[in-house]
Amino acid sequence: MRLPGTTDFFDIAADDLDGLAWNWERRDEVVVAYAQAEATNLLPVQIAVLDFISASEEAPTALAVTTASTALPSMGLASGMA
Amino acid sequence: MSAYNDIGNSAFSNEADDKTKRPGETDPATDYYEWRDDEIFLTETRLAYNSYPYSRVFEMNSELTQISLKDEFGYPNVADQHDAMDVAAGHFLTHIQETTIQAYRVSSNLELKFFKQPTPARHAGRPGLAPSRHHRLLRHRGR
Repeated sequence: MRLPGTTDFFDIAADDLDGLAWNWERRDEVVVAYAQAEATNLLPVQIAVLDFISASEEAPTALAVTTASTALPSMGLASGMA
Repeated sequence: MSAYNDIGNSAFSNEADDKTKRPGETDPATDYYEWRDDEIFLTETRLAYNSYPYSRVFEMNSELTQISLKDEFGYPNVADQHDAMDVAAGHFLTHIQETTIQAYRVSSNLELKFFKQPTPARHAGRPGLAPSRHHRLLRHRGR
C-alpha cells in the first residue's frame, strides 16, 4: 500500500560518471531519480548522484551527494496515481 | 528487479590448471587462470502467503550450459520487505569486486542498501522521497 502523498516513481543506475580514481582505483557513482510531491499537484523529478569514491565495505559512506531537480513543472509527473 | 555484473568476483580456474594444452584445442580457456565473469542478481517479491522475499545470485558454469544458485539471502523481517525496489551494480566500494545497490521506498523516504555476498546487508543512506521536499544527506548504519 502506498502511503498518502508518497510515490513509487524512482529509478537507480550506476556508472563511472566523473572518471576519477581513488588510490588509482576507478569507482562508479550511483544515480537515483525519484519524484517528490509538490503543492502544485505535480511530482517534480529529483536526481541525486552519490559519490562513493573514498568509501569501503567497512564504511560505505558517500563522499558527496549532488542533487538536481526539474526546472519546469511541466517536466514533473502528474500526481494522484496512488 | 535484477541486475547482472561481476558481483561474485569468482573466476573459472579449474579448467586452467593444465597448461600443456593449446588454447582452443579442446577448451578455449586452457591457458587462462581467470577472467571476469558476471552473475545475475535477482530480488524476488513475496511469491506466496507466509513466504518472504529473497535476493538470489545466479552464476553460469564455464561452458555456459547451466545456471546455478550461488547465494541467496531472505528477508523474513517485515521491516526489510518492500513493495517497490530497483537495483544497480557497479564498483562503488572497491574496484576489485562489484556490488549491487538496492533502492526502495520506506515510508516517505528512498533508502539505499548495498548487497555484497556473503554479507549482503549494508545500509547506504536515504535521500528524501515524496512528500519530503528536503533532501536528507546520507545516514549510515550497518547491521
